[in-house]
Amino acid sequence: MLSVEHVTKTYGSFTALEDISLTFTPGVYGLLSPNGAGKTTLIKMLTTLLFPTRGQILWEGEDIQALGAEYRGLLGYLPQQFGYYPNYTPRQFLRYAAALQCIPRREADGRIGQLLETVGLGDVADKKMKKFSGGMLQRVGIATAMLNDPQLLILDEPTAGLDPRERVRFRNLIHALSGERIVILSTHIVSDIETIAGQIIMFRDHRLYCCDSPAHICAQFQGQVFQLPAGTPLAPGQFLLSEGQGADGPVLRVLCETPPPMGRR
Amino acid sequence: MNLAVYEWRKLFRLPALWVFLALCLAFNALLFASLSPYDRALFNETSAVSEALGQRVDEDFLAALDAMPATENRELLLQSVTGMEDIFETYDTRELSDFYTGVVESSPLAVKWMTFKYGLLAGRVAHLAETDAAMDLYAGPVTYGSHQFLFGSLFRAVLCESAILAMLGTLYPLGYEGMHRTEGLACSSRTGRKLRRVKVLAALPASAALYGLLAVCTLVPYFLLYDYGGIWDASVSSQFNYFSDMLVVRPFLTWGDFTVAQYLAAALALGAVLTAVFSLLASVCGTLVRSPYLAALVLGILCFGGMGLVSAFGELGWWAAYLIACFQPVMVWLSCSAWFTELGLNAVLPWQETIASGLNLLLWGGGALLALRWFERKDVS
Repeated sequence: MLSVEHVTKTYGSFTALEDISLTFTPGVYGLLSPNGAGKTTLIKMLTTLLFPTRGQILWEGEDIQALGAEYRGLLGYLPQQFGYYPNYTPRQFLRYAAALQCIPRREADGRIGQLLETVGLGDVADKKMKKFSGGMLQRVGIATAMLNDPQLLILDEPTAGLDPRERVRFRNLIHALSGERIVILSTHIVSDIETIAGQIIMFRDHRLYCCDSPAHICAQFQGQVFQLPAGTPLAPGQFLLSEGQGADGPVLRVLCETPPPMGRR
Repeated sequence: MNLAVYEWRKLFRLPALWVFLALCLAFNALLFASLSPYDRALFNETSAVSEALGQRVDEDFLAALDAMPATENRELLLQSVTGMEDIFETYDTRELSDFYTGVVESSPLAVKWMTFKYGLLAGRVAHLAETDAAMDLYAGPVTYGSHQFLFGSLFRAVLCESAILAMLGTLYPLGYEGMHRTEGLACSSRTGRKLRRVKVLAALPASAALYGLLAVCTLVPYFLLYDYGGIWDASVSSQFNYFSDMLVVRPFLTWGDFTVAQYLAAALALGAVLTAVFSLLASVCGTLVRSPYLAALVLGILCFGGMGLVSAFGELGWWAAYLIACFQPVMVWLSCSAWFTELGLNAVLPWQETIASGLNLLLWGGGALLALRWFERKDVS
């Protein structure tokens, strides 16, 4: 179990995250918020890249900083911008990542072969990565993160920059790999997590806004989302969610407690 | 070890490294162009003579040399050695002491240090007089030129190139993860921030290997051209060898007894230590300064700024500060043609280059350890 206890992160006078408390048990968690809300800051603290200014993060009751290598050894991490060595092949890069994870070479070689097949890169395992597409690189990234069969898998905006087909493929892959581990998936795209996340964590103004199941979150707004013809002025208490194309032309999707006069559910 | 191999692979697969190495070797090859074929012929003939007759110039040597078939070079050699006397028997270090205490007279502390150093040197001169080191032939009339070429030009170039390679070869792996955006991946792995320690430790043997490669590729051709067969056992304190500082010429007064072979071995060993010092210096900069380019700039400022500081202290007459500043690695490198001697105005202690290199090794090694510990608690953005 991973616990985040009253964690705050500040940079000088800027507060990136304030008093965050969360508990993670095996399952898929979606971190959802607009860009700049603090998702990456939280993820970097969970991966020990950043140190909390206040509060602590515990793995099975022990501080992750004190656990050090032991904690990082059960962690798999795909950063927002997956860095790689262009002149390495996926196999070479994964061997290097395995060395970083202190996995013995023989054991690593077997696992690398399996993972490359799982992520669909078996046929390009020995080709240099400099000519790989963004989707292929992300798949190398997920293979890297899975190398040590982590109990905690953290993926920071894994679908950013991918085309729709690659995004679907990636979602399926994450779902297949989730198993009995904690998977924390950060994104600002709702469709990335609505089907695979058991819990959605949302931030607002650098604070925790909610942590609940998608069904429960949706139930809270049941009967409160309406479509209005585009150009309709919004009244107080009406919040614009999105603009789109309805059957009769462009529409606005708004959230409000009382049905608007021209509104359709 | 496994991770160190990866770090070496990253470094040695860098084409720019090999281009730089090739340029260094090309520069060193250009140095050979300054060699005179006449001096080389005389050197090789002197070596052949000393191989046959020994290095010590005494009556037997003179008689045997006189009996050898006459050649132009042999005549020149004979003229040079005829009437040789042990210069150390009458040599007085007070002259040197008076000169340097006069130079640094504005600083009583520096005067004290210089007096102390030349007091100790008097004992060395007495010892050299006892061993008749001055009566060794070395390379006869071409001793100074060949010694200066070997240690003042070739070895200085090798050392400078190795220092640059050591610094760049340390900064490059330290900045590699940042350049490829893999720092997050590395620091969140089981190895974590300790990867930096691996990089620093891997850079040391890599620097030593590059130094060795440069030394071998530069010195082997020299020794193929210059036959040291009869020279290796000569004392470097032969009266044909000398050292000049501030236009004052004095014998090559080493703090220990050195044959040419021993002197070369000691210089190469100290060169390896100095290369390690530069690598550690780069480790500190590369760990504290995130950007490798900025770290290289800081290193440049440290090295050139240090030289400038010494010069400024000299101009201002702050001699105590000047003498302390001479302990910097760059100053040790600059004095490499006269290592293990009293080094004139560049030293206050016997064996200063050795002591300074050792202190720098400890200082920058400790600095690297502290920088690595600091990095252990640093946010990686």
